Amino acid sequence: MLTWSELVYRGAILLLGVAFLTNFGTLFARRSAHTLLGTLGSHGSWVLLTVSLALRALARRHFPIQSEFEAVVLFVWTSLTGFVLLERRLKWSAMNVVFLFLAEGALLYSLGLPRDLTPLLPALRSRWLPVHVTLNFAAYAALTLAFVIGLLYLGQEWQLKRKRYTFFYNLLPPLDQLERMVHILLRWGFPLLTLGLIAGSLYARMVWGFFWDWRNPKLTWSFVMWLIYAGYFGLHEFAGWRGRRAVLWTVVGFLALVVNYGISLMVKNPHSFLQQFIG
Amino acid sequence: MGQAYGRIRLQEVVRGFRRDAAVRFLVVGLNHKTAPVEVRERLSVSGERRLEALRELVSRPTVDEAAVLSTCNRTEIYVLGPEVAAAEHEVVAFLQAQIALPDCRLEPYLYRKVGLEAVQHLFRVVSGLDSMILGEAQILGQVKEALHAALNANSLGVHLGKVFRQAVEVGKRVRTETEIGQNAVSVSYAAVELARHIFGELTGKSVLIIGAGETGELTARTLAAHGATAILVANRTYERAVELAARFGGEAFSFDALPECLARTDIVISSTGAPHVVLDLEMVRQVMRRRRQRPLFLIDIAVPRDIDPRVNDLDNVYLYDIDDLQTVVERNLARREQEIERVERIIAEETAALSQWWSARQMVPMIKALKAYGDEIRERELERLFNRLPHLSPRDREMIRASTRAIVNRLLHQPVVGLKEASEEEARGAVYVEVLRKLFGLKLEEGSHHGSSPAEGVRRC
Repeated sequence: MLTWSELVYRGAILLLGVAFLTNFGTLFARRSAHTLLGTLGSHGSWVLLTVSLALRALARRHFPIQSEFEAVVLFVWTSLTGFVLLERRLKWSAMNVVFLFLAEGALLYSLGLPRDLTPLLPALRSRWLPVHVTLNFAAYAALTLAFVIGLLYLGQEWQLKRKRYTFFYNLLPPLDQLERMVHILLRWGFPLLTLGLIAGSLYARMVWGFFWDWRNPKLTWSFVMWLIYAGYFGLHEFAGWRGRRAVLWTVVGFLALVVNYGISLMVKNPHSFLQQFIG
Repeated sequence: MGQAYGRIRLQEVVRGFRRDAAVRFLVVGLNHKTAPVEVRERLSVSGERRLEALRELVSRPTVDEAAVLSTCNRTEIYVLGPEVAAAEHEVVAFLQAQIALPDCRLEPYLYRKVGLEAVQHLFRVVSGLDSMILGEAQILGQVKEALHAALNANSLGVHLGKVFRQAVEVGKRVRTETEIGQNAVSVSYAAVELARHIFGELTGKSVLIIGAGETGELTARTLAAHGATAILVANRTYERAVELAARFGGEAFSFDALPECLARTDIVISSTGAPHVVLDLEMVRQVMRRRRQRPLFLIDIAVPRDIDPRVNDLDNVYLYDIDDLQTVVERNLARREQEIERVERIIAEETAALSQWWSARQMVPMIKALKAYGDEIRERELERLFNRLPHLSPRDREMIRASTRAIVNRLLHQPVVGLKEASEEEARGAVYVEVLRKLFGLKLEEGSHHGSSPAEGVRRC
């Protein structure tokens, strides 16, 4: 039986797929076309995903961050929110294609995840949870978009340095604009990440009685990730890192974010989605 | 026997019809492929001279409409006359007179094209397919100039006006729908294109010229035309730098000040005659630190090279030498060549559209004649009727007039629609015209073919 929530969720996947294919098609168009269909796809998908998350939150009567499924969908939703805000302003078809490919991939992956509404863990019943999760996921969205644009920068920089021009040469925006956009996104993402970690730590104090636990790999790795992004600003300000090096650094930061997610899947703690937290 | 006669008649009719429509249109010209520059420069017809030439051409009885396209690579005269051979003779004589050299025979340099071939030729020219640099954009402006000059000289009629207006549309269309005009095909434009890939808009970017080479100067001017503002000039001899800077309205420096200049600029064009490296790795490395790693685009068009090639390995430094730029240009030219087929397809489409317009226009005198025929009979019969029935009140007369008008219109409606439809096919159109002419005993007036006053013709198209 398809519930409303499931139906809307699948519609979102379909529309995002349409958006991806449309944007992919425009790469081959003679004129840099910004098709209505592409915008409708991404915006429509955002609306449906919002509804789907809202229905799930209503069914749960709580913030939907209990299972891996919910985490993935929430991550795609926040990133898509950021993307929709950027898409119309930048009109970078190459960015649209790369981002929509990743987002659609994540959603297709979530299709295979169990979607049952498991009972809420006691530790998650807190007003602090939404604050912590919202801040962190907003940060992830900005950092993910920075990563996508960083990839475009690295591709274009490689072409201009090696003087090897591929199909993408005329599709990619100027280096200067790409680098500036990466920096802007990091200036949003890093403070959000910092606030998210602080909120998480206060939250831990509430439920566990301590601010931080260095034996918890998830917390430790989150700190490493924070250090990497902090390092970006340090190197940018004080060592004058610009261009390729600075952008490569943000790619490293994103890899740390992916590892962080992997840890969530493996460890036994409230950040885990595989094992039930006991006590 | 009778059938053979019929077929011959039909061919004649078709030929006659075509003669009316397209074949009276003609181009005679020469270009960079057919004539050397010494001949071309003597035939360059522009400005006031072009207006005079146009007025002179249309003053001849053999020429009804005329336009002159003149660029440094070509001079072409497009005319429409009652007899194509006479018009051609007139134009060749006119060109021969322009060259003003009695022992120079122009004949071997000239090409001529008639009818739809001439139309196709103009469309190819305006698309840049016939240009020295494939797809260049200037030609579109030059065709527009030719159109405006002909309008000013009052030498355009319905047909030539339509052809030139459509040529301008074709020029625009191929440039938006294909990449024939995209991608830089000269060293200076390639530099602009690369700079845009690095910096985006060039507004506010500054350019440093090192040395005084012609290509360097041209490149700097092209960059400035695309928004680059400040221009710095550095030269081994300071006096020469001042001289050059004055031409650009820039600042002059000697070589000692190179590091300061490099710290201040975004784009560097180097073209000195120096036998050794002018910008070495260490200098650029230090400059990059002073620039806080802002990107630096270096263009080295000197041979031997002015800039140490290892500079390209530094972060945020993009070094292009003359070979790199040539590679870009060749690659872009190849891409334009790939577009030729698409352009040709558009030209074929537009030529067909014009041919159809011509055929449709050809029907205009026929339709007019048909309607005049109907009105004439009606007027004559009404006059006789009213003479015989003098007691009719004005109101009765008016009603009879309206009724007979309706009868004539209804009767002719279907033939007129049929003619308009038939005009889409040349051969069928010709047969219809001939049949109607025979059945109704119509005579087409000479004046409706051509010779309508140019000013009136322009308004109609």
